[in-house]
Amino acid sequence: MAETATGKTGMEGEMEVDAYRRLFPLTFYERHLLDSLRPDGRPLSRSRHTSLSLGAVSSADGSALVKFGDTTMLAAIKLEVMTPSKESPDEGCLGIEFHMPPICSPIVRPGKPAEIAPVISKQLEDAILSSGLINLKELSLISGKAAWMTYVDIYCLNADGSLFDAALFAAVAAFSHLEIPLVSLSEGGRVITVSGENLDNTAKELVNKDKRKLTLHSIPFSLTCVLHKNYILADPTAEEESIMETLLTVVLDSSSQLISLYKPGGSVLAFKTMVQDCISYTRKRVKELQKILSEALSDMEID
Amino acid sequence: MAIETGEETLVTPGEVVGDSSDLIAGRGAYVAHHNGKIYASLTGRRSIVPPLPGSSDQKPKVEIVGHKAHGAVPEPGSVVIARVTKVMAKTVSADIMCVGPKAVKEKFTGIIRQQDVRASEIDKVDMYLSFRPGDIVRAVVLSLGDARAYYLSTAKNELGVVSAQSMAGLGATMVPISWTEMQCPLTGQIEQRKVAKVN
Amino acid sequence: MMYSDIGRLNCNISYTTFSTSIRGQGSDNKEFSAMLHKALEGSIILESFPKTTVDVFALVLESGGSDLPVIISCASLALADAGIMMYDIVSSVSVTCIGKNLIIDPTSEEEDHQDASFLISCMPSRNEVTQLTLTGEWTTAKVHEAMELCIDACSKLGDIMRSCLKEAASTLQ
Repeated sequence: MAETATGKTGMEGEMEVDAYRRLFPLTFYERHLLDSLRPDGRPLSRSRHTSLSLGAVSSADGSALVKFGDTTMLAAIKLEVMTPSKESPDEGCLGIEFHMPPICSPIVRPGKPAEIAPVISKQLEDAILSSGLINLKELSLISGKAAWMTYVDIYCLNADGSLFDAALFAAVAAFSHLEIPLVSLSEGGRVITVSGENLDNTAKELVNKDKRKLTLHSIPFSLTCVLHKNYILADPTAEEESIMETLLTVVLDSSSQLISLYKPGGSVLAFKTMVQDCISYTRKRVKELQKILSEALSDMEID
Repeated sequence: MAIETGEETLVTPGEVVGDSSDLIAGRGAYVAHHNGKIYASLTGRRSIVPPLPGSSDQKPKVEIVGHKAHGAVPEPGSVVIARVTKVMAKTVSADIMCVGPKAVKEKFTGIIRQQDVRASEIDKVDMYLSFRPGDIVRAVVLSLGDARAYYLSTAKNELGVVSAQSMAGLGATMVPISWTEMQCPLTGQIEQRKVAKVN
Repeated sequence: MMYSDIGRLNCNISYTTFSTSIRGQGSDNKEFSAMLHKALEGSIILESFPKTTVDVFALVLESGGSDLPVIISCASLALADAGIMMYDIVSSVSVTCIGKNLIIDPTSEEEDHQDASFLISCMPSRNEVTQLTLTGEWTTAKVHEAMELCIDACSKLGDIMRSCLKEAASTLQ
């Protein structure tokens, strides 16, 4: 790197740090990495400050707002009664969608959607379905007649890296916050939802009186790391993701079982030790996220 | 005349910050013609700047200093640093990254036309032997250009390519060896460029 | 696109899929986008940024009635916070008429039962209206009443918006 350094010294004197950072981002980052400190002051393995608030959308049945540094995600779950399919008469359905509206990033414009959004949608669906977070049988109301169609919509309000991690955390938090609406059978045998106000005068049989919460079996959590040379940077910002292109995402469940591992190409080949390091960083991160989630849930109960 | 220096007050767009009979509207302020009052046009701190000695108008100036620092914006005459994005037969496109020593925040596109690459023999310029995508170029802004881009010029000794990576790959930064050539320190390969003179 | 001596304003409003009581498509609202543009255009000093476009994107997270006036006021706050030069902030208020009653800042339910509606966007400190929309049947007397109600509310809302901006500006420094 000696050549690179000398080749550019002539220009450093004439510009501000910000300008140098934009022109020679890789050189700028490599200098910071030598000191094991990122430009935002984080050690390489530390995630950004994470916050969670539950019940952010009052019109939804379950919702959560998550922030990883500047990355902001809003997840909301809405339940609708549907007729289950013939193949699985006692199962409900799950639809997960990830959205990146123009507000989230300068690279997204109306008519020019983000290419990454459908990819993250699919990854979220895979992680949530394969972790066994939701037992689809629990979404059944009356076998063969009625079940819950569960819409999970996650909106990225500010995209500053590690989008999948933040979106997954928002989705599982929204599931923990989810309260299933009450339903009753109408005269014609149709299933209708009962809202709070007319609960008293419809003293008819409620189909799901005791079943207001889903049992969440094993909750998936994830951590994305950027790999560059021998460095591993946890929870990267958008700038870090764009400069150092190799990403590795690990999804673990609450008992640290591996659910999935993505490494979508990139110029850095991950050695076994690097993958192991990423997994052990993720283990630590899972503990942090679990703590944040359980604190938010117990705050809800106090209210 | 209400001039409080000391503690500067925060104002928002639309707030009256003075009267045009005893103040001049500076940056972040404007005069409404219907009542002659001066209003703020920015959110920020109001400050009063005393008149320059010897200037024709001896009224102090009221200015609003915005609460957020804006990125630099290129203007005709400013020296910019740009990264080449596309090289064509007659023009080169580049993203303007810095104006003077300051980084820009938004995306500004610049164009270097064939006649603006160098000062002499301007009809013999081969764009492909002057720039390559990825090169960092120092240039001067000629004009606001067309709807899409600013017109840039490198027709001076100290303007042109200031940093370039060799085509041989490996990301090695080349060393200038003449005003038309740069050399890769790893492979020794020589490439043509419109090189900026290093001071 | 032609070279332009003045700046351009571009507005886009979209709704989340969960913003309404029945899950929607989360589509763009073209009509509201155009109205937002018209409401803000007059307040911005477009001459201060030649050949530049300012994008205003609004995303409605939860729709509970009076959406457009809320979006307009919110977008104006965002522009003022972004340091865009403007003549004044824009505050916006709507009134719904049900029978003989005027209801200010109506909820979705009230809007569903409305006989007529009135929306005003104005620059409170300059006492200028940037946009006025009337739908339904109005008597002159009622229009006057609605106008006074709205203008008064706009000026109160404007004061709240200003204190919001100042709070944000002072915490930043």
